Amino acid sequence: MKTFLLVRRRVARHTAFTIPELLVAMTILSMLLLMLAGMIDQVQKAWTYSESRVSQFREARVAFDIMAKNLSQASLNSYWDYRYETQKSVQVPKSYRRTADLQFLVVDGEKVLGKNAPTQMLFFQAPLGFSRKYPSMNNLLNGRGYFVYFGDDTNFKPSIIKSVPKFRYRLMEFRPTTEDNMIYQDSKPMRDKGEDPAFSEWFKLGLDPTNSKTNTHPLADNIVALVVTPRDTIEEKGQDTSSKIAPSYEFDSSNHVVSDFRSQVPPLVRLTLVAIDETSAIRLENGSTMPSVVDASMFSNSKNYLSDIENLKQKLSDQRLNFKVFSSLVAIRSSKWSAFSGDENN
Amino acid sequence: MKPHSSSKAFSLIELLIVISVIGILLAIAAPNVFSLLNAHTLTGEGTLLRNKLTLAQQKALSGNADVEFRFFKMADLENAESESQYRSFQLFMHNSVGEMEPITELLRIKPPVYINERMSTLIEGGTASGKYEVTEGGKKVEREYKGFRFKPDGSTDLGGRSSAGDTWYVVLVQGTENLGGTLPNNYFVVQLDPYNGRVSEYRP
Repeated sequence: MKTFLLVRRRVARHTAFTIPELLVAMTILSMLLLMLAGMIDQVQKAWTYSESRVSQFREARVAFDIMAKNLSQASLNSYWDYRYETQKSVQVPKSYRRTADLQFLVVDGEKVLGKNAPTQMLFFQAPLGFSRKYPSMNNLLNGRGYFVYFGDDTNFKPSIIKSVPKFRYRLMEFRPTTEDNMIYQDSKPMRDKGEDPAFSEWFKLGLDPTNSKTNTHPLADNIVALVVTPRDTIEEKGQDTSSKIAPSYEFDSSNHVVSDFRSQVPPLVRLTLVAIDETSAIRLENGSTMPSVVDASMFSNSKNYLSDIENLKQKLSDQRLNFKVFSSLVAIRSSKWSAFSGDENN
Repeated sequence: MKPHSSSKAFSLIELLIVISVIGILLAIAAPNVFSLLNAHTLTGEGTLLRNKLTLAQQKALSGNADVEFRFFKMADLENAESESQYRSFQLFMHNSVGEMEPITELLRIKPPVYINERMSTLIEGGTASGKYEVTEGGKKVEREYKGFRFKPDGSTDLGGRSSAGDTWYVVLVQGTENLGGTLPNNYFVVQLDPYNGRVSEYRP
């Protein structure tokens, strides 16, 4: 009896796996599988990360290059002319001073397009030769503008694509043709009367960034900030980034109060773009609600430019967003900057 | 005492069952794996086209010259008898003597990925067209092309389309059955903004 039992046990051990054996095998197997899955997941993540980083920032870089290239051609064609007393029968020149029929403008985006347009908007005139009727005339005058706008892509994607609208921060380019350039429309009657030209509406014509039939098209997705600092020739010294000619970033060449930069293009412009990648943008996305990226207090005083950039970088890394800051000092070739602009009493 | 002999090896029945189970599992998995591989080629070809469009724009910007992007109508590489379609593209640049000179080799969209000509507005509305001698299967042949130009400021010579919201795009699909007028489930659309030359892609 005893020997029989022993034999039975030995036989049983040889014919089948016991539960503990199976459990151990399964545990090892599942551990291996988990490790493998983890590794594949990591590789997949690294791939998507680098892929979206490369493609996203390539688009931003191209946009930045195009913007800098066009901006460097900005022109005002300023000239010296008499300024007359208005509404007097005898026309006596009041002063002799620099004047221009074109405009260079850096303005707070919220003032023009509301809260969907954070940071600055840049508008200028340049001989870019963009015309429907005369494509071969390469030096025709064009208005051009750049700004960041938060909106959806419904009107910009091919009509055959029926996907959910993508709400993103985008760098928009305002590019009316020469035929649509309304720069003279406002200023002419005023110049005829001997007054200074007033520019108000040329850059608003076809500006609507939500309609693809207007003159505004997206240039790059996921650009969260465009900071434009007009500077005079004095270079930035270390921490001191304050711009004498544009303390609050805003600059209007037709401004009559600050005579220093009346009818002049700034000789240097610091362009800064902050781009995030698509994966980060998807993480930020919250339907049509604009995710907060740039605080309202940021980029309102050029003295704080460096700390604002640092704060923004900190904020983006705190939210674990992937970003890149593009910055460059663009020299404007046509600028003949001088602090003397004619009469000093306006 | 000798253990029972049958417990030492698998029986034929057991092996057959295991093999058939493996077979069934493979049969279930195969179509998925194939479609995954195909989707991968679609992504690959789409990215190639997208990258070359960006390259053309950057060449125009950096070289300060016109760059022409040409789509060539040709037969399938493996099957010379197949119908000519727009399957290849090549970049040309204005050289110093004013001629268009190729700056890349002829690049092919490889089957099973095809350009859906009917839906691709960028090919249908190309501003340049003509014939150019290309090498096909070792021989030089004249092939029809359609194309457009990137201008030195990064824009194109295409102009806007009249219908609301539409711009220029190329539709890539997989399989000849998807060359009709409707967008299949899996597609790769490369869009080009005529005004600023921006290239963007759309995938399901």
